[in-house]
Amino acid sequence: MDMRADAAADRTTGVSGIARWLAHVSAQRPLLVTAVGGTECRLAVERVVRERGLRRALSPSEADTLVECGPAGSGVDEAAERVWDQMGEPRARVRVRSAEEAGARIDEARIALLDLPAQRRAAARRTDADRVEDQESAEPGTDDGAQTADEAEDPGQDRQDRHDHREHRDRQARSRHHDGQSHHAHEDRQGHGRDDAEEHERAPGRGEHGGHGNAHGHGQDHDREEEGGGQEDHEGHDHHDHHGMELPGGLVMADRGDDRDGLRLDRLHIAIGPVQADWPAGLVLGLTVQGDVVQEAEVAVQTPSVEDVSVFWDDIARETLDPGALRFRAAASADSLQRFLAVAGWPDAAATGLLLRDTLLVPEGQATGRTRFTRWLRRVRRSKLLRWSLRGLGPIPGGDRLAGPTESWPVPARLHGDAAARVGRWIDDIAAVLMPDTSDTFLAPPISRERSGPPAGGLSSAPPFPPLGRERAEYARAAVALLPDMVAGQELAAVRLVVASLDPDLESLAVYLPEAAHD
Amino acid sequence: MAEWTVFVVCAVAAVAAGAAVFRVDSMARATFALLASFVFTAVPVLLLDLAYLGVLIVLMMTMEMVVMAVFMIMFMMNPAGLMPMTMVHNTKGALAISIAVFCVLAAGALLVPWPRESAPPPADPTLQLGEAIMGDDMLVMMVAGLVLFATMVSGVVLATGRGRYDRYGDDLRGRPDDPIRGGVGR
Amino acid sequence: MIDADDAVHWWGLVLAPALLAAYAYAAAAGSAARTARASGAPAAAALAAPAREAAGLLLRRRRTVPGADTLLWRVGIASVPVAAVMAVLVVPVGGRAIADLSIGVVWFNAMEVLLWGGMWLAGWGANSVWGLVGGYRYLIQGLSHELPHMFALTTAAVGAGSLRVGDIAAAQQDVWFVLVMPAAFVVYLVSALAMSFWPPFDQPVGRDLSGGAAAEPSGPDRLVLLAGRHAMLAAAAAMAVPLFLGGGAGPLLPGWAWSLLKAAAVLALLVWAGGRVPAVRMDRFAEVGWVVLLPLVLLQALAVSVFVVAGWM
Repeated sequence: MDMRADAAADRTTGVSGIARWLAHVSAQRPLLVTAVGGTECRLAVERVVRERGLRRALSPSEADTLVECGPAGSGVDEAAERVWDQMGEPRARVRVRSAEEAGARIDEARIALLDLPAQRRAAARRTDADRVEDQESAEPGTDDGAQTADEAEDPGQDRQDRHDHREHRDRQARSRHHDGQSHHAHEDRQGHGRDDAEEHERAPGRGEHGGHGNAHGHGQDHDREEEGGGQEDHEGHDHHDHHGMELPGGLVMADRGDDRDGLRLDRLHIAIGPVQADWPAGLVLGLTVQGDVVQEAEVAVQTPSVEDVSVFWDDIARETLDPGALRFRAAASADSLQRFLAVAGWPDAAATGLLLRDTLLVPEGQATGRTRFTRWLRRVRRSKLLRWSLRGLGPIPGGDRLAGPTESWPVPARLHGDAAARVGRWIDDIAAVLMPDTSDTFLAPPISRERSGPPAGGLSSAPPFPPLGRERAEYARAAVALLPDMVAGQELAAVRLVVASLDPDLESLAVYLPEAAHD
Repeated sequence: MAEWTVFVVCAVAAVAAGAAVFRVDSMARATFALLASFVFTAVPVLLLDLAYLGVLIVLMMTMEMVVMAVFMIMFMMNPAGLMPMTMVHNTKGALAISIAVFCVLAAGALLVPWPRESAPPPADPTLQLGEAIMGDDMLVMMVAGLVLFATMVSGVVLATGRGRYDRYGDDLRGRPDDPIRGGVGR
Repeated sequence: MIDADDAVHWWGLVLAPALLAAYAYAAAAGSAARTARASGAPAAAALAAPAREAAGLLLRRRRTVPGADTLLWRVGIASVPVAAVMAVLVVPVGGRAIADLSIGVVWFNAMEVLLWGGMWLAGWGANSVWGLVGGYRYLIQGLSHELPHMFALTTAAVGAGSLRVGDIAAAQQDVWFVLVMPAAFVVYLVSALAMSFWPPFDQPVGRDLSGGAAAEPSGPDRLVLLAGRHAMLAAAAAMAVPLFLGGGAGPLLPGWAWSLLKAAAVLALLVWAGGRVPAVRMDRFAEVGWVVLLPLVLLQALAVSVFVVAGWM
């Protein structure tokens, strides 16, 4: 395109040269959505992102590319749709179905991002669609608790005539974005008055949070949530008659409950996952929080709808324990460890862990950069701050048995101990591959001591090698069963750390133990 | 002249912000309107060459208003956003009393024969302030500080639901049993 | 407050934000380069990463959130860079500050306390649970480190016998305060990291909360918030120089060059420290701040007071 055509295009579409230049120099910020069965794609995308020097986005507010990894058709798609809705232009969306096409898709997204006139048109279309929806939003919505929604409202419109619609809990609307104008997108439903960023953590299957209790599964009305994390009612009366109370965005008052100190604080129902940075794919953790302390938790698994999901961390071709297989197994531990380090707020160590994982996954060749990785491993292992943060967090005592619908099984030994112990096992797995000839006390891990002695209580000892395939499914089953009790009473940072230290592999759970995934 | 302008602007703004505390629709806005009122009050203090006190007012009031915001939002329901609420009771009576008190105080400020400045202002007002507080009355100040601190600690101890015996067990030994561990293990 | 023989260097009002922006960019670029090196990529290319990110943010549409208190939200976000610029007004570069107030130390403290309100508003005002938790985490962080921070500042002022930052810098002719009061210096550096929610004290904008207080702002709002955060770190690093590192004293180079060099060194130390350790958990740090840091800095203040009374300083 020559200069005159460019300038002509600029004039007609209103895109200035500065905007084009900014678009060219700006870095892409991809947001990854991983469905169950998309591990291989996720690994490829993360590798491509790392090689190009991009940084992954943590939330839709900073993302410009939505990369969906894995097969379509699982429950994660609804969450991805909501996240897509919350992203502002310029934005692009791609789906990566196999590892080879990761780079190509991201390039496609970049080309779409650079097409500024098209982005502007899309933005204008969205704004117009919002306005049209405003005007026809007067009728009550259908009874469908599955969608969350917002409605845009003209600033000039009187809020008073919205009152009678607020009682209609099941409105449909979609979240909106506006160009810096003071439109108030408000939600006329009984779900979260919260914001858009929370919607992307909501499980599609759960629908609205707790409002009617249907998503909550309890059928109790008094746990209506709304606003409030941490806010408390100053009057003693019950909240069932909010109806005439005009609230911003059509929100309804949160209901209250006792907290651990005996205060009556508002309760908020949020869900972490399935779209969340550094989060196990397909896991949805529904939490009732007061402030940021979790009162109740429940786990849901977004299983894929396709039947032939392939498990990446699998042992079919790797029964032997040759060096290649050991590297593959250690790569699984490295993947879990780097996600954990990212959640623990150590992005540099997580970045090196990512590099290590990619290096270990390369089938041939030795681990280049052995010095770098050895130094990294030592630093993580010896980090007193990490141990201090993790000590006593998420303890799983040995000797427990978990009960399933038809059988009971002991808690796998690999999950025993606190979060520090589990992380220490991953470190040991990697050390066994990186430094296989060092078994002396120089590198004796201060984090996990229980590997050295015989396991207490006569339990099955932790397997000496990182698990693959069916073993991972068993660990995931145990983790999913134990999670609700482990996180109750903890605060959100601890919840994230506990989940990251368990890192359940729901892919293998869906394939090897499908009955546990569908409970 | 410039000082008068600044004073008048700040005075009007302080009163307006104070009135806004009772008019806005959100507890957070009320808290920060109160903070604005305090800051506008601190500016005339700066005009009096009391630099230390003026900046200290801003410093302490910001921290206090933020802590107050935490408690107000915790104890008084309000989503982020605006909700019509009323913070006053007995509106007519309160208004009458407050206007009367304001008139009395303003009259006092304007009509009281303040002593004329006999000595030149001190070179270092902060030093003078420090010596006035801690020079002759140091013991009083220290005891007052300790009493305040003891009162705060006692208030927290009385308010907390779990005491030492709940946390450590009957023999007061070992590590405390807290739902969320502290960093030092005490 | 501003004595007759002081001058307010008005031209500094243009220079200071420019310098602050340069140091803030340097902090962001250093952080990006450090992470790039950790992930095996060349560090040189990462130095332009903050600029690229800023370009992307300028293009992005702004978001609004249902039920958000937009006024307070935007005020909170805007207060971050404003507090940084106001705090740096009293920092002397080569002996001359924009306004060398007689109570400069208290002014600096007051300006960084404005961030308490600002960050809480930026988090809570967005009507998001991530922002709410992030804003409250900033408050917990503040409550844990603020008293030790105040006493560290007080110790430096006691050592020099004045609250004026220029006097404190001038009182370090014989020996730098970092050698006389090392505990106060360490506590000051820790609080510099905490006040600008820089790693390892970045839980208010933590990754486990999808960005915490930075989860909701998009586009220009986000740029203002993050730029303000880097500027605050730069301001705190710049303040460490006259307080503990002797101001502009040094051989060969002029005073202002030494000031800038030392500030850059402190900034580099803080940026490097950000990548070295995992994030500090606030529920565990609160106890550390009150039970470890506060007695430590009080003892340091006692020691310095004894030195002053005994005439050694």
